[in-house]
Amino acid sequence: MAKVIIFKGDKLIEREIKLDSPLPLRDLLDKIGVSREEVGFAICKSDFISKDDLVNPDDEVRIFPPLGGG
Amino acid sequence: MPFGYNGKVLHVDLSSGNFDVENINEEFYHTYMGGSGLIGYYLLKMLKPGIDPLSPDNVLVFASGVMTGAPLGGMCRFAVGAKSPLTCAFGQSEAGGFWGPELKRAGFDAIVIKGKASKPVYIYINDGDVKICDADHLWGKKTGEVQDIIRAEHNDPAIRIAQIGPGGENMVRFACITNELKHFNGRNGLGAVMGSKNLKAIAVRGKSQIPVADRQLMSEISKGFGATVMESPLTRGLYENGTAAAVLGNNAAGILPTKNFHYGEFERAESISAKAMNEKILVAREGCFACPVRCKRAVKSERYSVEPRFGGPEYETLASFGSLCLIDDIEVIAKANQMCNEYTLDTISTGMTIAFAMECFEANILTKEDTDGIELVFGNKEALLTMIEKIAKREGFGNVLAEGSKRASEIIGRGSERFVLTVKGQELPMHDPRGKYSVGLAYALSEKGADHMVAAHDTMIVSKDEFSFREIMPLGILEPEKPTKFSPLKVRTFAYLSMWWSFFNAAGICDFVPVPRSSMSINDVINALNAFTGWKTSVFEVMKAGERALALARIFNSREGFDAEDDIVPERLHSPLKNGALKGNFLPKEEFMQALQLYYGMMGWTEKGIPTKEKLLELGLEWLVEG
Repeated sequence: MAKVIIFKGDKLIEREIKLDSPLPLRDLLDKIGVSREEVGFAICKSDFISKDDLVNPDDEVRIFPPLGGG
Repeated sequence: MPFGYNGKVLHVDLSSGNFDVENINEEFYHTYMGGSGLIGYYLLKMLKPGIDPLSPDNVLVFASGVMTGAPLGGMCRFAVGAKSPLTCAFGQSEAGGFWGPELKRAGFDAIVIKGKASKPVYIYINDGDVKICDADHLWGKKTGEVQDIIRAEHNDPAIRIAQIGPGGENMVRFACITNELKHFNGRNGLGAVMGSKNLKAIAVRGKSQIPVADRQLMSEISKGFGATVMESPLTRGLYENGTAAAVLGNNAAGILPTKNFHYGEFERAESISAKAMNEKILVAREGCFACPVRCKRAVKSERYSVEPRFGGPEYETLASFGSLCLIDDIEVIAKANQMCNEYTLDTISTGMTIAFAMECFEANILTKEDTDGIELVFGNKEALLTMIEKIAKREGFGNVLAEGSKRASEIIGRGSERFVLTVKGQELPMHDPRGKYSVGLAYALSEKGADHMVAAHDTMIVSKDEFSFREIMPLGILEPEKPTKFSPLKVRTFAYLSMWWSFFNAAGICDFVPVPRSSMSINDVINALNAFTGWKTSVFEVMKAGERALALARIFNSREGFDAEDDIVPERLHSPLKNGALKGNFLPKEEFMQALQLYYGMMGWTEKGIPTKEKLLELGLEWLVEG
């Protein structure tokens, strides 16, 4: 199962998604109903990934809105 | 009569008690915009290189920006500047609140203060009338009481007061200045400069309206912003959770400074988060002059006698007293925040300096014999609160830490310097550049020492699908770059955004209102500036003003002996993060140094990081070119 952790507002929402094969992040977002416009960045395996990068069935992906300073 | 500003700068000589008014023309405002630009101009004109920042030779400038006081959200900021006693470099720090607009309504755009009063005084400005008042009875008192007394003395509860507490009086090198008890010119130790001049406060009251050139256009922009501001998830988040939302966000991303930057993830982050604040101590969401965003918090804790009138901890404070010191009690952090507010200490440098000492204690470099018997270990809540008080009063070991972590390390010795995390002597803010490389550039390049408010953070502008990135495309930034990558695109993006941010700091604009951090478009910012002043300005002119302000500060630092060798970050940031979502990431040193050189080149600076003669001439700063 791929684990998706979504940071939204002030909450972390965890979802588990069954993937049969690697899937581009943009398709994974569609699958879990997260709008691409809401996504600022994503982290997987200690790296920032783009929406074209593949997510493996056992990966953990963290999804964030834009995060700034201040 | 000009629109948007007064065209008047008040000069005060505290040594003689004299003051006079300088009239400023429109070209000056186009060139410097106010704020940081105006401060750069006066510091370069009036300060001799090499002076002691805590001597009467220093000059202290309070400067609104050209947009300060405009009837529009975010147009409330003012800057204070001087040679910094913490860094001995260009010192400057901005604050929100109400004081800046009030100064303009009282008839002045800026106050330039030199000399030193023979005894404690405060300056009182009432609708253009200036008095230097005795402050003997206020010296030694904390901020809340001082505000009450000054307002009572003049029988006017609407007086706005910028002031220092005992931390500033005692010249703690990271003392700040507060206005309305809850807004801060936090960084660079400018409160210590006030203390060194025996200047307790500047109280202002103005009843005139700042003339607006095009009221209809300003009203349209204001209504448009007000109607849509809460539709922006970024701005709505600032209202609902304040800057505290960044605690859980940065923690989940693995870049929440934890245990003096050893780690990027704090396992008890939830207990110091916005959620914890909202549930346990929040009593009100507040804001600054004319601003609908209302990102400020007011909190209360009966257990620790925390009062709402001192506001509430921001993200920087939650992290610097929380994860950085391994403290997981939000009420203790609220108390630490209030103590700093009453004593006027910068919460970032205070937290960082105590975390430095905690690491020294853990490594047995410090023992209870050094720390007045205090068990100064990470996570010790009572030790944190005790040390804040001792720093403010310069009592015992607090007198060592009141010098800031870099100087404290020089006093302590014994290898403690490896735990110091400063740039140019100023402690790092609560953002780990190992997960956002341009923040590393910001820390290194800031003329003020480590500063997180230099440009947009990488994690704000990663996705081309997303609003924040799309809205900065008119600046010529057409592609996003990965946060953990150095490239010409990364450096160019940082360069452009550092000019955009520098314009905010000069013009008096809060970065929580325009894009990319919030929702006011670039066009609306420019249109608002034109509506307020009657100018026909452009993005080009304001970006150049931002660039000019950066160049002025850079020249100031060059005169003080700073150059590229000072544009470095602590070694710890070049070593891998030990935990969290970005475990293993670090700032690659060679690429980092190359990026700095590329930035110098793009900015028209020499390899030593100093603006060239040609660049100064291009910026219209002929007066800075020798010969």
